[in-house]
Amino acid sequence: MAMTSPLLLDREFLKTLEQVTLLCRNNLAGAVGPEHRSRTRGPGMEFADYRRYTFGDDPRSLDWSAYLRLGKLFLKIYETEQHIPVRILLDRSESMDCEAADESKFLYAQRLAATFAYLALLHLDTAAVVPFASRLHKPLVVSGGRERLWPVLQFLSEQSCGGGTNLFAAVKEFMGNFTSRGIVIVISDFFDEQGSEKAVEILRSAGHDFVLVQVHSMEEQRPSACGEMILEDVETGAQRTVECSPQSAAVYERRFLEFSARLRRLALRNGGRYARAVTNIAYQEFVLRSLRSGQVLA
Amino acid sequence: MNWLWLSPAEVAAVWSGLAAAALWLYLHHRRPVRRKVSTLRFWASVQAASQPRRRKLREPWALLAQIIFLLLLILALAHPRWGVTFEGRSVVIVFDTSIWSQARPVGESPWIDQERAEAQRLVDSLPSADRILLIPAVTDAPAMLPFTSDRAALRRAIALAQPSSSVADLPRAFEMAKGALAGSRRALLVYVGPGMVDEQQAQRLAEFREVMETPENSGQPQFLVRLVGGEAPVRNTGITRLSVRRDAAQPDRWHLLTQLKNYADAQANLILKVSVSGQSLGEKKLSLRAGELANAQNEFIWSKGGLLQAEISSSDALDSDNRAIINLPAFRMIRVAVFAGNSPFANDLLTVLSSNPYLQTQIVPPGMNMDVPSDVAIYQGTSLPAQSALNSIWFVGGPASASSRPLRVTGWSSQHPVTRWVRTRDISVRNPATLDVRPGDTVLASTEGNPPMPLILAREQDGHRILIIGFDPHNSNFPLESAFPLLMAGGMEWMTQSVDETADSLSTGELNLPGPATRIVAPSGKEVSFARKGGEVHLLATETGIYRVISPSGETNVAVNTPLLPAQRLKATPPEAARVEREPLQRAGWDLWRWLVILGIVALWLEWWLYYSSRERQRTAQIQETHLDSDDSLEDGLQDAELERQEQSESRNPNLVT
Repeated sequence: MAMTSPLLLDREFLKTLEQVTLLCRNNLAGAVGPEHRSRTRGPGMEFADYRRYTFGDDPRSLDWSAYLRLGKLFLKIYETEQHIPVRILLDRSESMDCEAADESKFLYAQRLAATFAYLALLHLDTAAVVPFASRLHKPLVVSGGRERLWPVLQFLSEQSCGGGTNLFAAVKEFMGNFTSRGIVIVISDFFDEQGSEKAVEILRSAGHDFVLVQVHSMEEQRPSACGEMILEDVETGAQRTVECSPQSAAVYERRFLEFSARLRRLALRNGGRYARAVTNIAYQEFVLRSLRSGQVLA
Repeated sequence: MNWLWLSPAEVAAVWSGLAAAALWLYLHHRRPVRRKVSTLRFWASVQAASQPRRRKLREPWALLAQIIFLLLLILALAHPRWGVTFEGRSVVIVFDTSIWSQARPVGESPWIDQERAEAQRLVDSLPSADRILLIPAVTDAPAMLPFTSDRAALRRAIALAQPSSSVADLPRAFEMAKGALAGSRRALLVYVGPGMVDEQQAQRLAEFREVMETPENSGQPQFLVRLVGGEAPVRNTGITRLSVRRDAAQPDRWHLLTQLKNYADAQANLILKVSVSGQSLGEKKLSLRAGELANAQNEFIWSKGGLLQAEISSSDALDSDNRAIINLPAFRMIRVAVFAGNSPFANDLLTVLSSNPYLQTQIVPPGMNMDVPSDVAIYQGTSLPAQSALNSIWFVGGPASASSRPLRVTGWSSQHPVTRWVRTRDISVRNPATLDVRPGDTVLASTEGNPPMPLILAREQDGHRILIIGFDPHNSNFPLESAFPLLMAGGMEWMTQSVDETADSLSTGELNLPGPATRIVAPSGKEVSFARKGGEVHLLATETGIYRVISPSGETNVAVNTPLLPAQRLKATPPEAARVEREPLQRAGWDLWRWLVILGIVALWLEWWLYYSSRERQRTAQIQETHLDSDDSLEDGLQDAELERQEQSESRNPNLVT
């Protein structure tokens, strides 16, 4: 696929992704179509079993050679291949564009979103990229194969950060817009003052197979600055004067890891999956190693 | 304690200032850095910086240690001594290396040797702590040795001092020495030399002595004079000037003027010999009365250039002024080309120019004018060229008119070299040309009338000189007048400057030479440093002989001789002849600065230890406090053992997926 994206997804990486599949944990009922294997029988390409013909069955599925041999009408049954919609909720709040110490969190998140969308398109699924901050922004829904990646990349590159984070409100709005079940990937730093618990519970109750991808920088995990500082929250504008030292940074890191652990627990207890991406690790490595080993990709 | 550079009040002021700065730094609360973060939720557990309402010292003992360190540092810089301190004097020795130091009167050793011995004695008599500056008595000469107490270097500099051929300027040297001693509390100025001054110097010296001996000026240095040589007048005669001039009528005839001076108090008989490039041109017996300054004139025939030397045979005390040299320029005929064909005008000019022995005149037919090499070109015509490639004379006639009346030529410029010998009022011209007088032109003659009309112009254009004569000679009675050859000769002299050629010898001392120069080499072969001032070079010539001036366009030689020498002997007054004032016997003080530096380092270490150990204690206490808080909350949060294990594995791989 000869493509130069604004998000710099390199060609080698895209080629590698062709051997990767997005795993679906739940048995999701979706539109019949190719690619995804499921336990549901129905129209498809792969033979599964025979059964006796009953009135009303589609005569095109009759096995005429069995009728000639046995004199009875049998119907061929195929495995149903499903369309599983993949919805990518991308956090574009102000906090995603903070910290200039290393690579931008938002760019990292954009690349992950593009990767997930490409994986969906590879398997002829429908991909929806849904940006959110304090509310849901206009989404992009694409389908029709890998050639449709370019609009996704264009759409992602047009996104810019702004506003506070309200995951609960965004997910609630998302439920109203996207009623069918599918894979929901939330890419965010989850620095939401209201917490993420309610949003995750809504996703679980709606039967979505969801993945929480927490993106943060190493500076956010372990601050390097020392001395007296006036810190300002980019989303709320709240300020706090602190005395930074190696010791206080250790306390801070402990709190941060505690937060990540709580988020993971929340995901797992609600039947979802969790991944933590630190921006100083190459996103290709994160996708191909961490997401694969975490059963998000196969 | 003895403060070498700072007074106790100055030390106290400097220390107070620095202590105040240190106190301000201790009280100063550094402005915190502003920073935007994604969230404040994790900072909630970090100790908030407490903003003190009023400034107060956190580590007073550290501040005290720093102030003590500053005090010790300043005291060390003040270079204090314990005990009585011996402070050396500043001494300037004015060592006379002028031409008179070359003198060797009968029965005496050379004066320069006597000066060296006297200077060595003086240096030996001074205490070792005295700093001595050695300067020559010659104008503008650099110091022989800067202030030093290194006696070996001083002895070496005195032993290597060489006499020059220039004249001393003792009052100026004394003023310079006094300037060098300015600011010294105890100073000594000593002159060592023969003490020869001229009348002007004697007058200035009297003023200098008056100032030095004024009772109000008690802070003046002690002034001593150490004269060498006996008191009897020196027996010496010398050449003080040499000048030659080429004869106006005969190019190879030279007039030589030699100026001689008898410095002795008795009559001197001598023989003046003149030679050019080693070939004798004659000799002359002369007799000079005591103190007489006489001129001797010679004439000789010499067509080639060369080095003319005048020498007097006189066994006297000073040899270097017994001869003088000068460059004789070589003679070359001036080539004059008359571009007029075989016209009557050309014949008239040829008649006039051929009578001039400096000129070689050639009539050039029309059409050959560009190929004839010449120094001066003469043209006849009705218009002037825009540019001229040669020095030239232009005869430009006006349009012929039968009704024109003769105009009398008046208003000759007596200042210009072309017309300085022309005074006639008997010349009248017809049909003169109307000349355009440009800026820079000089009107040499004009017609009568109101306003007068310019008739002869001198113009300098593109490096060439042009003489414009605004009438046809045949329309005037000019060729018949004696003024015509005078005008032509004056024009040639102005353009070529070869007829009235003179050469004068230069004297040692400061010289200003014309033209650019890249190098100047003295007669001894040493390069001479010089300064450029506009189109001139300025140098100090201390040797007699031929200086080679090397410039991009070639090399020229400049002859430098001895000037008229000062002839009065300085007499030392009793205070000047007195001995060097004795220094009180003092023992050296004990240097304290090393100990102060050591104590300062200790104070600095103490300040560092007090400051950082205190901060460290505070920080440790804070951490212990926050750890206690965080451990409690962590226990609440991490109940699930399995998740705890996952956390541990996550710390190894931060991008863990579950």
